[in-house]
Amino acid sequence: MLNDDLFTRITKVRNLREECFKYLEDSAKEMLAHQIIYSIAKLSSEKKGPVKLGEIAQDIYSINDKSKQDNIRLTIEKTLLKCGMVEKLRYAANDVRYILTGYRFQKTRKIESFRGDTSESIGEIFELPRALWPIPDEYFTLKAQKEGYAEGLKKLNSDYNVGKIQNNTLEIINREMNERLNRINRKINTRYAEIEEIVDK
Amino acid sequence: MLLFVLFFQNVPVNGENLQSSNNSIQNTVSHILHVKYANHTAPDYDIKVNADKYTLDQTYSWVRDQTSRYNLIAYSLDANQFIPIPRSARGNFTLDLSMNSDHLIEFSAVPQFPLDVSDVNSITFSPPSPTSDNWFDSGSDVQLSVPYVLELQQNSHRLQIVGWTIDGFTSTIDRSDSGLFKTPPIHMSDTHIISFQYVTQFYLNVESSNGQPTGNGWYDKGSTATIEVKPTNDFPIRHVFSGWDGNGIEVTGQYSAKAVVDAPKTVVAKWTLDYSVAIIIGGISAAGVVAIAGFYYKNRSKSMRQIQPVQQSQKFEQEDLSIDPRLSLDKTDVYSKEIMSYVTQKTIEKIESMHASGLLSDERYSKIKEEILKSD
Repeated sequence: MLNDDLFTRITKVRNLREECFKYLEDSAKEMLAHQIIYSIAKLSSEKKGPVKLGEIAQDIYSINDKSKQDNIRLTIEKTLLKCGMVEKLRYAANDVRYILTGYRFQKTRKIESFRGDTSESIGEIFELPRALWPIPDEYFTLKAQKEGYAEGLKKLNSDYNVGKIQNNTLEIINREMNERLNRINRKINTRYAEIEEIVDK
Repeated sequence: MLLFVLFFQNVPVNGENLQSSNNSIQNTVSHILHVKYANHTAPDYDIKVNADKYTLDQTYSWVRDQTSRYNLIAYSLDANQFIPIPRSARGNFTLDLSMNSDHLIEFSAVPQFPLDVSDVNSITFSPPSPTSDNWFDSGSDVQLSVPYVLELQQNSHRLQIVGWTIDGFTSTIDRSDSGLFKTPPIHMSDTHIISFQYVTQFYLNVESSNGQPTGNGWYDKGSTATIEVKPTNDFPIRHVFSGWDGNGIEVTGQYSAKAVVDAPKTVVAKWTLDYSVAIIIGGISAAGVVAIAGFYYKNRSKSMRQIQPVQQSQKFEQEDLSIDPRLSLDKTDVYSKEIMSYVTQKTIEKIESMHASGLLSDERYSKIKEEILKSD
């Protein structure tokens, strides 16, 4: 699945009715719907794409048989699909996969008003654990390298100030490291700007 | 019977679903309020009122069938001219009546149908809905306007409209980079389901510190762009093209390539500096200086003539090495190794802090750390 589709699922906050929001809460840990949400999140984070029923069954029950798959499928269709928390994707006739529609949710309550139905938000935005977000490894590598080169440039200048290196060496290495840092920043800005804004909050 | 009337006043005789309020002085003479609906948009009913005044409530909208509703537009009192009512989708219209005699109220309503459109935020209705929602009067014609382009991230990621569907029939739209697409008029004789189709486009940025790069622009996701850089004629220090930096690039010519635009992307033309001509010229110049100096000192001290030209040429070669851009961090220079080792150490520390803060699972942390150490 392409990064832009996954990023939209991370960056967009989904509104959830109260009766659907309960599946996210800790109090629902024993519910299969809750376990399915977290399983899909974990598996699609590793796979960077939607996952199959068999994979979800294996993750939750440690067994992948038809009865377990049916259990999961019915739970998804009766609850999570209707709530709009999970999306069902048909890849081929016998290849159906599932993915979360979002990783950040806002509990809402429906209210009637003179101008038409609206909803009001309740509480703060709920986020699934960030370790389960389908952010590519490349993002973390780039962010870490950015920090590495930034610190390296500080040390380079510090070493020059104490006379450890000559001006020539400073110029050459400074230019090279800045070029590398600029490339890293460009990659982050073009590919991951929205992700960075949310993750760095 | 009188007791019955006193305790149960203002009861609709044939009414249904109608709340009424009555806060005036009671009298012993009752009058009838006849409520009628033009064109039988609802059942008529009567209310017996035992007071001077009566407040009549009527909902603005009510169900007609599975796909339509009636919406109030006017009322008439005692068969006089109809008086228009400000349109509204929801809530109640109230009318205060003086009940000194029987009265006839007739309501007029029109059928309305909804336009079912996904993602209403970027769409404009023309004319706007009379009830300020997505419902329109039967028989009216409505056009939808939507921007050709929705820029999701400036100079990075956008959607461009390519088609629209009404009730299952899809039409393609001529693409445009700006302005509004307007549908033909849609006749509201029934509900309609409308959707728009978009292609995702990414911005390809072609950069070069030398020469004229081409190929910048918006491309459909997954399409292939042709990129090129026209070099300049430098002299004596030449810029030599050494390739493209970026993913998904296939070289097609000396200065050209194809780039797959699968994400917002920047590709950079790489250049190295060729000092060979400059060095030769410098060498010739130095030789010239030597020759001139030699000629100049020919009639001066012999020892001076031997020393100075050699110093000048040595100094020139040292300067050459010090500005050699091909000297990079990958060389086996001791300090370069030390600084790169420090960079790697700080990179790993950052990964560890991301892991500690819960951004990375144990497996991903181990995998990324291993890859960073391998590439060191």
